[in-house]
Amino acid sequence: MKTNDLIDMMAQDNPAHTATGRSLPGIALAGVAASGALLAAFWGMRPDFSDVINQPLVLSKQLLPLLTALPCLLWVIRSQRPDYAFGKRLRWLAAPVLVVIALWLYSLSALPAAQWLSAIKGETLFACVLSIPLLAAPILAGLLWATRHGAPSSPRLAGALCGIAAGCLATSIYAFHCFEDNPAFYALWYSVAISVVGMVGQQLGARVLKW
Amino acid sequence: MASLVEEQVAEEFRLALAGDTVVYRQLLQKITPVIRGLVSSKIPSFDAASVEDVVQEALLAVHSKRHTWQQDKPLLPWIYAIARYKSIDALRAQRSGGAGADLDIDDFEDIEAPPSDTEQSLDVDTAVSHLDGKLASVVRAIGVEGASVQETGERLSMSENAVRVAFHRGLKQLVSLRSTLLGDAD
Repeated sequence: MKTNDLIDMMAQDNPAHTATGRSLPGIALAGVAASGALLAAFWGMRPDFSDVINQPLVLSKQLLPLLTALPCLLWVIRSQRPDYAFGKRLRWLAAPVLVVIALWLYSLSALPAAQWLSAIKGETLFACVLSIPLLAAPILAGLLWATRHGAPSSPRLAGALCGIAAGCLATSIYAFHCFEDNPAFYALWYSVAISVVGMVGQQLGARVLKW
Repeated sequence: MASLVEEQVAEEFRLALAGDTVVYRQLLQKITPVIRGLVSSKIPSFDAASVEDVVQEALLAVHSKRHTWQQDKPLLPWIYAIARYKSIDALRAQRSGGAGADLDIDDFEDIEAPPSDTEQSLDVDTAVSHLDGKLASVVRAIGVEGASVQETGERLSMSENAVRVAFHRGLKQLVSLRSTLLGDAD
């Protein structure tokens, strides 16, 4: 087919009728709502939530992932444009990682070495590492679906950012249920769970975000 | 490589997005050689026909992703980004399958692409007849006969949105059919 014929045909496809945009913040909120409903239905909120949430270490378990999710969501929105260059911005992701490492080391330093292993293992390791990806699934699905509409120049990177954002949001939701308040536990295992979702997002992104 | 003036093409694209199909067509024709130049410099090992495939892929992407251009941002970097993406994609597809799988693209860096004015001729009617039933009717109505989306919808009893989707799919299929069809025609 001649390129000119293709152009003639494309011009017939009225350029004014652009596809209606999918509002990414709206979809992210819908995903969070779905995930929150799942938590309420199948996990339940920890009974002592209102009594402990004023403790800094409990609050940070709730807020740190949420604060990390926000720039990731912003980057996911930006990555919809093919000409968006991330440059060195992604370096900012090192900030929450460093905070989490510091928090983890700090909590271990407060304990005698003999208790480190049991503090790290906690009581709900498997529940935690399984629940967060499950709760992240609806959010990740929504973010990927919205991003399919865009044109990310790197589908893998866009997918990974969708995954990290979804993982962080799901972690913040799971923290309503989780009673492990020692960073020796949550700083490590929450990060592992978020990384898992990030890798899933990257793999899915390479497949579903191509255009 | 032909050169484009940012302000001018951006203004034309804005007009096109506001519904001016005449300007849109001129604009697409104007950016095609620039895209072709960029594509053939990115994938110098491709022959002219394969470059043209990628050019058409890129043009279709410009069309189907036109909502991702923010009208207050420069247009040319957006177009180049699409052409670059499609070039890399074609390169990757060629590497991961087909005869060239074990070749290293770096070995071909100094090979110049042949002049790409050898646009293959295959008339649209033949190409359209190879599409799936409904897509063929829609593409023929809009692309060949020049009917509007609304008319086509009424004629084929489809919603306007369904017509638009079918037309778009048909265009994509035409591009991917292109190489097979040319094989037949030779």
